[in-house]
Amino acid sequence: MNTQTSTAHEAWSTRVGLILAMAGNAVGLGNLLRFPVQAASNGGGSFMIPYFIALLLLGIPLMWIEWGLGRHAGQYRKGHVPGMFATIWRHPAAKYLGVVGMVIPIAVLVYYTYIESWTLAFAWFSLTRDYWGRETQEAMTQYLRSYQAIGDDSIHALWKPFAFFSLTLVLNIWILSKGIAGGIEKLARVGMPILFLLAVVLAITVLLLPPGPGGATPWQGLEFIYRPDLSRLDEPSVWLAAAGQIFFTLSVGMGTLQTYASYLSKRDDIALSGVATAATNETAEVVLGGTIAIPAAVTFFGVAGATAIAQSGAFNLGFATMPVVFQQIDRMVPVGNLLGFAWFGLLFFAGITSSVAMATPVVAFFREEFGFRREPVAWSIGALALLFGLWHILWFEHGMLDEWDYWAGTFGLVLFAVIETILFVWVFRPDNAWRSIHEGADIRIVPLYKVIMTYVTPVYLVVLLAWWGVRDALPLLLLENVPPERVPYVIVSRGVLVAFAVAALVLVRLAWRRNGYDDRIGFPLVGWRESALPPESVAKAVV
Amino acid sequence: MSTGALVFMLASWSFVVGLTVWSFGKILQVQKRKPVDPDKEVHPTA
Repeated sequence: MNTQTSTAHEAWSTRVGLILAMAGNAVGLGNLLRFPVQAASNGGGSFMIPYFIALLLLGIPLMWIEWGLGRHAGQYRKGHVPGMFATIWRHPAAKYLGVVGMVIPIAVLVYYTYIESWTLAFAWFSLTRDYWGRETQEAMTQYLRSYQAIGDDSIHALWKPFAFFSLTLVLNIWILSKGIAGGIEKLARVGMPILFLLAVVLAITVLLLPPGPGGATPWQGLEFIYRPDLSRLDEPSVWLAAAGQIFFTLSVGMGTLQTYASYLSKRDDIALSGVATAATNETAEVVLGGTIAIPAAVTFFGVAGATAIAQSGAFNLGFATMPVVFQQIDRMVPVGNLLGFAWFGLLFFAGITSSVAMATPVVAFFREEFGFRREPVAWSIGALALLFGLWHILWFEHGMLDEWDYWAGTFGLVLFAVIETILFVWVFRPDNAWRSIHEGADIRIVPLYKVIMTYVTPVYLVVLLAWWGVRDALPLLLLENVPPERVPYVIVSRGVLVAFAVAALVLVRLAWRRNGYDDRIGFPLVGWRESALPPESVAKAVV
Repeated sequence: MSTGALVFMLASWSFVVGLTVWSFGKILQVQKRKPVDPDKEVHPTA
């Protein structure tokens, strides 16, 4: 039995860098667009009660589970999920279950980078006032649809989405090819402060807006989000929507947090860092995410208009409504294009700090198991993502992105979280899991959390999976409500995902054979990675 | 803004900002207490 370790030594250089990278992974487009829509449509202020309960019972425990799983596998130099699962369950099936944690991030990377490229394109269109003059929701929606290669191609030629997607992907892969400390951590240390700065500037600008054409104010927008409707609290759908939002916003169930944590040693704290990461994400979501898009939309479109926009989807809110708002502001103060640039720049930084994480599990797999160098692996993944991303652009109107987003980016995440929670807490044993999380910990976690992680979190996840399985997954799987002309596209889209899974299964099998791993014996203990987090690094970084 | 909405908004903001301030404050506090690595070892990075 041997392991490929010589090419796989990587580490974080500072603790703040690590937390910013973890938070950057978590803070994404959903914080700024999905959260306010979910809050407003699920009971307003009273939505925050199940939301915070889900944070405490589901989100933070899952953070610790994923950090713990990743850090534990790090001592065997395993930064990919098949290897991680095999370190805690000595059974041939463990590695194959882990394939879920390779397929999900790579599939999400493909379509998420495509959406991220819209933000880059619209930042440019804002700066150059390309959409100026389209001052109604309908006109901007038409502009967005044209960019999405749906309908009128006289506004945007097809080369534009191709060009912006390719540019976005090259940026992602270039950063990824620089490694953990040299690429991802540097991006987080630059990108996260810029993200927060832009968000604060935009939030203050929105709150200072004068009453709109109908007399509505941004404060009515906040009222729209936070008005408590306590009668909604007895609806299971509200509790599940809150749990779903917590789940997605923290980027758990993706396979990426574990890979980041695998570059830590037993001397490094994960208990407090996990809380700090979740808290940073929540501040970005609740304080900043809730104060920009919906209050701005309410000011210019009124509560009824904003409700209709929110119901039409987060993309319309972000990419059609907000440009209309910036043009309205431009009439008062001629900085609308700069605000538009700041908004889409904010979304871009939120997106790229998440997307660079998505390829890391697969990069780790090829480096650790086949001994490949990081750069060629990163650029190969980029080529694959380019191929399938172009396919997404051409088939966007046929629902390919929706299909992948549901199976990989929604249902798949919960399925993966259920598997990893059962393995890390139950198969690995609650005592071992608890001890592992406390290795090098800077805080003692309240013992009640051991009970929560052992019983409450798994039950919460299983209920969430069952609810979505019955309500959404089964009808979708059976192609109910799918127009007949779309069925072939849906089947091919799913077929590509299945092909990804089969390819991953074969690769895992090859890796195990190549390296002579015996599932019943487990991996040789290589030892913890040398900690790269010097004790004084935080103080230096913060000061 | 109604009182109910204001209360829920301020409570939500206080909770998340409080948790963030507490966690980063704790990180700083812990780091100050920890002795500096006597070997001053240079750790390998990527």
